[in-house]
Amino acid sequence: MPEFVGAEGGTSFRDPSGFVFLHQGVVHRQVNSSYQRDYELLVGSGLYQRLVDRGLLIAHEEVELAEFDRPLPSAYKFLRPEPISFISYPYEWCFSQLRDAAILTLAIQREAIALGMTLKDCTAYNVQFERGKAIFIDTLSFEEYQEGEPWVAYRQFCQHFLAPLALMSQTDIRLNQLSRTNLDGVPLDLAARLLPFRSRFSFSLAIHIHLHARLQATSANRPSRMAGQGKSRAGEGAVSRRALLWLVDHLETAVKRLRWNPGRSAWSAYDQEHLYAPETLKKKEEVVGAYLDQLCPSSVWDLGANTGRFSRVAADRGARVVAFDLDPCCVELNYRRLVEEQQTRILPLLLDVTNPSPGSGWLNRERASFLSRGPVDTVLALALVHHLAIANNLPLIRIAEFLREVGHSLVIEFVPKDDPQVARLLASREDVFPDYHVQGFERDFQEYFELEAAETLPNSSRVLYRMRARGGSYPDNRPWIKSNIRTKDS
Amino acid sequence: MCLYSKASPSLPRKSVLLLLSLGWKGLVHFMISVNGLSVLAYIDPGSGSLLLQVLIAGLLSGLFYLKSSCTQLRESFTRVFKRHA
Repeated sequence: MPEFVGAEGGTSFRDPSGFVFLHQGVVHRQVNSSYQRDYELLVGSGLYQRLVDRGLLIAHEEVELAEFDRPLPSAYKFLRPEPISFISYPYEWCFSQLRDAAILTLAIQREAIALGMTLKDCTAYNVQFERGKAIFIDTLSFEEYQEGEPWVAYRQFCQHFLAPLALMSQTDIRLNQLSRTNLDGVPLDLAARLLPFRSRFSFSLAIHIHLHARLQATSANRPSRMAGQGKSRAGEGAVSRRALLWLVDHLETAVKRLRWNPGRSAWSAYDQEHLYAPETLKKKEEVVGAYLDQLCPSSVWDLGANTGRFSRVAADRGARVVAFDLDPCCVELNYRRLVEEQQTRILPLLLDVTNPSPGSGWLNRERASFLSRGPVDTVLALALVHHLAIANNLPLIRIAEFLREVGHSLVIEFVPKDDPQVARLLASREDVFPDYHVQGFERDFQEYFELEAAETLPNSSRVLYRMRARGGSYPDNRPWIKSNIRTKDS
Repeated sequence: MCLYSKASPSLPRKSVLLLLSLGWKGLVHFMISVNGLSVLAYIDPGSGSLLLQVLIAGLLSGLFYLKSSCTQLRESFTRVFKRHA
């Protein structure tokens, strides 16, 4: 197996059907010889084309490549899938994104059964967001459906999708973070324990979570003949095709019944935008727009995007934007609006800038860290710096260092102490920030950036800057590009 | 173990009665010891999860059977009353 793991590689090294690797900087997938029959069925049955036409599965082209000349499974084919512009993970998604990913997976399973195939795994990491929609990226997840066999991926579906959605809906929205530490989704016994008592009265949760958890515990205690023994056929007709389709339908109803509505948290757009006089807000949009016109980025990260007003300013200029925010309410509202507008260039995600997603999983690289998925052309850091510097005690120079690492250019808003927002942050604490002023800010940021332009907003003391990173291209952050990781070229 | 099979239409009736008579723990024990369920998969399907699907499939068959019995009962009642009318 290549040591290559990372944002593009993900977990594919665990899959015996094939694996993902980089060739000339582009993601490719090897289809192992052992998977030949299932792959031919996928294409031959028409399932691949049907799913691609409906926009459910990522399209790929078959390419000719020389085989790896190292001890790896022998290759049947090589595929080049359409690239995903930004890899994201379930613990970075809002409620509706996870919900859409769940519904997508079930729709695919339904189509697959109709054409004689079934999904052999159901992890949330098989889904990515591209052009504003959830899309299934694991082309090798399909295997031939044997009539009468139960669904092997049912447990994974419950742990990766149903349990986190139920927890977010009925216990606390922040519980999707359980996916960060549990690689294979939320354990069902944990979910059963955390869900409120009333969840037992919901028929679907009672079966798929509570009863499921009980049966897992009970059968774990008994030695059984179940642990992988040769034959791949379950007891004759144990779960008929009709029962399986009913199960898929029932899971879909269960998912759709789970709802979460963001309340008005202190961070939501309504509060944020009332802080600006209308002409100030309008001017801010104009200035940010003008700066972006001068920078011409193709990729933008909007840190502290709130409900995405300025992400849209960037997207309107043709950039691909990832809109990050700390508040699940904001990300949810942003995502719902983007879906309504059918916006294809913005991806909203959850992120705490002071504690961004770490590299995790195998070798700490199976799930890529936030920093390793950059840098981007331009970072927007609007109405953000005071939260980092004042509320989080981060020295301005450290903030500059961070922003230098993630972007080649920067549009940033400095919020001085006399602004009502900062005054509010300082109201209940000692002012230990003697260097927090415009001159100190400019001095510290000039260590890492060239200050190209600055403009003070009307009726406000906030200043908008356009900056370009010093020192040319920053060294590539992605650890798997480093020398000990193999690619086809090396 | 076959809870439902096209070959023997009387099987659903027997299986529903069996399910009801065994009680909770007995049912689990019975199913694990008798069930030849062995599924080869690259991920761990979870023996409890496979069991649950068989149970649900049985429940579904049972519900269908119950529903069809009720319909049959209703129809025979209407037939009886129609004959007398």
